[in-house]
Amino acid sequence: MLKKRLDELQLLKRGIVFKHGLFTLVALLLINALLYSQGIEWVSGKWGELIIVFFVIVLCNIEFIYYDISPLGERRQKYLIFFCGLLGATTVIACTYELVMEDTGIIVDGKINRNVLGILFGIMILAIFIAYMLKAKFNTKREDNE
Amino acid sequence: MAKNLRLKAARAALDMTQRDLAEATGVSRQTMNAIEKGDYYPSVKLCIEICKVLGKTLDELFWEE
Repeated sequence: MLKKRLDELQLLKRGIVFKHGLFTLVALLLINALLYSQGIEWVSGKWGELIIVFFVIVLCNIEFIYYDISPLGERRQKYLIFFCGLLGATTVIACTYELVMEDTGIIVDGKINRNVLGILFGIMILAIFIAYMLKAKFNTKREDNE
Repeated sequence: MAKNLRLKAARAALDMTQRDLAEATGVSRQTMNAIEKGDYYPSVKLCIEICKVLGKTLDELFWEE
């Protein structure tokens, strides 16, 4: 994504995005650790930390798209984003199907079901695709107006 | 921040789009748009690049009274 040479404004904005990412990551990990120390474990094992890291990656990607740091028109980038959309949709459908078939409920033993976590992952991947589509549409409209 | 109308006028006088000027100066169209809208003050290096492409001086495009 960032192999293309960025101009000075894009570099500045990239720094802001990384700052947001770092602060969000630290805040969420601290909240997670606080919950854990109080005996509240919302997911089993290390999935809590993993989902937080993944959430921050998605957040940074969406901000990259919003600030036009990602080369939206590049073919390789397009394929990657479309792959994200496909992967996200497949994950959401598969996990929803499994959740309905197993009929175990959203929360099992006080922890979020792994299928619900799968749906969350899928939604986050889909969010990148949706942000890309909206931004591409917005940019095309703005260019037409100019 | 105030819009840079002189930059816009100089670009339009050469019948260039924001994209053309952005490509000529090696920045993205969004950056050029931000400069014209006054949302971003470019570095001196970029100002000089823009002046070279548009055939203007720094004073003519960027000096504020």
